[in-house]
Parts: sequence; C-alpha cells; structure tokens
Amino acid sequence: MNEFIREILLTLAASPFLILRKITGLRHHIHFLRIASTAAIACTCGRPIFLVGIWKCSCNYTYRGHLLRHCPICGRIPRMVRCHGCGLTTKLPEAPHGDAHRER
Amino acid sequence: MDTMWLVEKFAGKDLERATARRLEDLVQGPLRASRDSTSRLLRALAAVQGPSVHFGTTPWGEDVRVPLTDLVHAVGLMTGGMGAGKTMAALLILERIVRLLPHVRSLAFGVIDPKGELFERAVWLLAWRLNQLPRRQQEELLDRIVVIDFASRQALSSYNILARWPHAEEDYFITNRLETLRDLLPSSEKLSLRGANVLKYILVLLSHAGLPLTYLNQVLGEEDFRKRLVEKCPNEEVRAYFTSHFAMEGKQTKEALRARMESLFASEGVKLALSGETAPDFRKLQNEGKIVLINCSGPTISRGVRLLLQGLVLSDIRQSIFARPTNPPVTYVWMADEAQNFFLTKQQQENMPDLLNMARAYGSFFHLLCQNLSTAVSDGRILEMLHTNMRWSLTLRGSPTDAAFLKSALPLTGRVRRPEAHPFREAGIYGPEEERSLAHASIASLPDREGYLWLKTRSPYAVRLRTPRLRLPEGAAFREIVDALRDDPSFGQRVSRGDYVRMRQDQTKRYQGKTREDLDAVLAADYRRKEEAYV
Repeated sequence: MNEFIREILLTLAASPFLILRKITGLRHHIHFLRIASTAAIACTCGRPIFLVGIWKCSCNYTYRGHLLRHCPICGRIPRMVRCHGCGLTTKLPEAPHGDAHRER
Repeated sequence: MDTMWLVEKFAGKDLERATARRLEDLVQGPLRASRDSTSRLLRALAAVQGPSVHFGTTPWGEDVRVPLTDLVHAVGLMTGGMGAGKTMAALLILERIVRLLPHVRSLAFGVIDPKGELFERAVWLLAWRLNQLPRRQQEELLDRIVVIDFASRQALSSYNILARWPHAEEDYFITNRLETLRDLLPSSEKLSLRGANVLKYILVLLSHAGLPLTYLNQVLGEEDFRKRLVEKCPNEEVRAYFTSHFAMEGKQTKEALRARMESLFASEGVKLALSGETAPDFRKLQNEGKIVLINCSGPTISRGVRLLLQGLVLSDIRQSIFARPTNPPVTYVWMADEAQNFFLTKQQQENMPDLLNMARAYGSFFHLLCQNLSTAVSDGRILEMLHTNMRWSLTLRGSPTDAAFLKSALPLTGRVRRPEAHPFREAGIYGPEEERSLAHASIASLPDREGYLWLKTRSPYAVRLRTPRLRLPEGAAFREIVDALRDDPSFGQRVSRGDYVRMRQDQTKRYQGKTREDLDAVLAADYRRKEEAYV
C-alpha cells in the first residue's frame, strides 16, 4: 500500500515536469509538422527558401517532393537548408521519435 | 513515422502540386525573367508619346514598337545577308516618316541606293502617300521630293561633280574629288601618279570654267578649247602647267585617262546627269527638309561606276552636313543601302567615323544597311568606332563575325539543353557564355526577317523579333507605278530629257560664244601690246 501511495505521490510530484516535457514535445511536433507541410520558409534575408523540388540525399538517393522526408535508403532527414540568395543556412526542426538526422 | 504519415495524409497533395509548380518555375524561370525584362522594355517603349515604328513581334507574340525619335535621332546599323529583310526593315522606318508627310517639316529623309531596291520602294511609298492626300498637300509633298536617278534617261537631274561646294576651298574640293576619282574610277588598274596629276589640273580647269567632267575629252584632245579655258583660268599654277608642261605629258597617260573616263560615261543616264552644269545643294536640301532619293544603279551602270557614284554622293553629303548649322530645326536621316561601299577607300574610311561622330551636332544621322561590314572595314579601330557611335542595330541573318558586337547583348534563356550522347547520363544545361556563343553562331541561320533589335540606350540586351512585311504590290502592279514615276520629270524636280539636252546645248553655245568673244578680246589686247612694244 505504502509502495502504491509512494508511486502516486512521485507521479504527482513529477507530473508537472512530465506535462511540460509532453507540451514541449508536442510543440516540436507541431513545428515539425508545420515545416514539413509548407512549400517554403523565409530566410533571415527575406528571400524564400523553397522546401519542395528535387533533392539528393548524401547517400545519392534522389527524390522529388518535400525536403523533410526520410530517405528510404539510409533513413536520414536533412537538418538544414541553404538560402541560394544570401548563402546562410537555416536549421530545420528535428524529426520526432528520435529519427536519424543528417545534415545534407 | 506517424508524423510523416500525418503530413502525407493531410498535406501530401498540396505539396505535390507545390513541387510541380516549383519545378516548372525552375525550368521556365530564366526564360520568363528574360521575357519579363524584354516585356518591361517594350512597355516602356510603347509608353513613350509620339509616333512609333512597328518593328515586328517577339517570338511570344508581343509587338515591338519603337518611338520614331529613338530611331531617327541616332546612327543605326542594319546588317544581314541577301534576302534577310534589311530593305523591308528600313522601309518600316521610311513608311512611318512618309505617313507624317507633308505636315511634319522638322523631319525628313534621304535614300542613297546603289541597288535600286530601296529607292524604288521609297518611290512607291511616296506615290502611295501622294494618293492619300488632298490636292494642296499633294503639291506640298511633291515640292519636297527631290529625285536623282542616274539610271533614268527620260527624267534627268543635273549632277556636275565639278561644281564646287559652297564655302569649300578650291584645293580641298579638288583634292577630295581627285582622290575619289583616283580610288574609285572603274578600271583594272589604279591611275598612275602622272595620270592623277594631269587629272588634277584638268579638274581645276573645268571647275573654274563651271564645266562638267564630260568635257575632259575635249580638254585632252582639242587644243583650241583647252587654250580658251586656260586663258580664262584665274589659277596661275594651272595656267603655267598647261602652258609649259601639259604638252610634255605622254600620249599613253592621256589615253589611259581618256579610257577611264569613257568607262564612267558608258551609261547614258550617268553621262547626261554628270554633264549638267549644276549639282544638288545637299545642305539646302537637308535644311529645307526635302526628301532626297538617289539611285546609283541601272542596267547599264557597271559596278565600278556605281561605287564611284556612291562615293561621290557620299563625299558631297558629308561636306553638306558639316556646312549645316548646329542643332538645325530639321532632323535629317540618310538611309544608305550597301553601306559597306562607304568604307572602300582610305579617304572614306577616315571620313565615315567623322561623319558618324559629329553629324549628330548638325542634325543629320545615318542609317547604314549592309551585308558584311567587318569584311569591308579592315581597320578594327574604325569598326570599333562605328559600333561605339551606333545607338541601335538590327541584326538579321548574316555572318556571325559581323555580329560580334552583339554577342554580349544576346538575350539568354538559361534553359538550352546540352546534347548528351550517353543515354544514362543526366543531360546538362549550357552555361550563359556557351548559350551566348550558340545564339551568336545561330545568327548565320536565322530565318528571313528574323533578327535582333538592340536599342543600346534603352537596354543592355537585344530583342529577338520578326519584322512585319509591308504590303507592297508585286510584279507588274508595282513596276507600273514606280516606272511611271521614275520617268516622270515632274516627280522629284527633274527635267525631261528633251529639255535637258536643249539646256545643255544652249549653255554650251552660250559658253563657247562667250569664250570666243573673250579669246578675240584677249588676242586683240595681246596684239596691241606687242604692236606698242614693237613701235
């Protein structure tokens, strides 16, 4: 019984942190979803960075569509994208569930 | 993976469409950018107030309308091979000017044509305009037309090439004429130094007497006639030459000179025109806004004579332009066909850049039509100067060497695929320089009436276009109208052959009578002087 009460108490004590973690995860998730479903993002220079087109993974697999996709060969997801106007790179959101990420 | 599933589920189709759009943009982007910049230029040109010339349409069907002022207040160059459409393009400008006649007095044009094609079409345009006008304006326009047709034997214009330019020094005029005649007189060989010397003194002698070059034979062969002229000549050097040295000139030299002149006078039309007493005052004609049509070609006019006539006319026009007041009220455009012939002699090569550089201040501009300029102008500096001073150009099918100046201005698409022989290798796209080189080389195989119009002051890039075809009648219908006008002395302020010959006979009689009287007076005075000295 004591064990059970202790578990409950521990859970109650940890719950704000767990909730906060879940909320943060959800925020990341939503941010990723938003980027993964948009055709372009804005660079700090103001120019659009297009996320749709034809892409080549570092394993040489070439695919068409959105940049933020798992490579079916190596499973990587790009982590940044370069603006062709100013040359600056923008970090992309990390994929949820701890997917393998790799800069392209 | 759930996230990806969600994205595919809810945004997959939109993203697929966005990808297709983006890829299409990437393919068409450079092409569209190139078109957009051309379209912006064309819209800016169309927005300019005042008359404009419809120069053609772009490959995507947009009209190219260039303000007339942009074209006429500038040196223009139209290059292209035979049948490429130079004459038709030149007619587009002429047609626009002709439409403004006779109301517009501040703009006029002249045509110098050694082929006759542009000349005849210009005659047709004027005839067409005259037909549109009421009687009073018809007369006004007719009064502004001046025709010099060396091929016509029915309607003649006097063109005494020894009639000195107003305000020009005698030595300068004679040297200029001598050099033109020496370099361009049709013959297999150049005139010898000795022959040129004889010719020089004869030119001075005839010029002082106000006689045309057709009297050269008489000066060479008739002693009496020569003596009479010499006695009248105020130039002491010339008198001394004919008194002391002429007799010592070799018979061969005189015969060679005579033979060369005979080749010049082989065409009756040319002989009649050159035997006149007066010459057109191009300065006055330009200042008064006359429409001057000059034809140097004809079935009996040889190529050599044609070149000489073109050279003589050009040197007269050059002189007249610099005698015009600066910033005159009338802007004058000279449309010169076969303009490569304007760079044949060293003298012409030196004069032409001057003319193109400075004529602007005197309100005269040249539009040069030529097949191959780089071959005609061997001196790269002169060619460079020509290209620098030219403000617009129309390059039709022709030699890519001739269009080298245009290379940096050729419009690019950025989408020309490089041929790939390997079936499994990705086909690449040509780089800007490579594409430019390809476009430059393709000038040699452009279809008829297609080319590049480059308005240097408006855009760093040329516009590819197809020039429209003027609706001119063809065959017999065209010939009927043009031939009737060419032979009509009332058109172009000319004289009928009968009147012209009569006038010449009267003048000759008058002149000979007068000189005879002069000679009698001189002989009587001489006799009296000797008699007094003897007594």
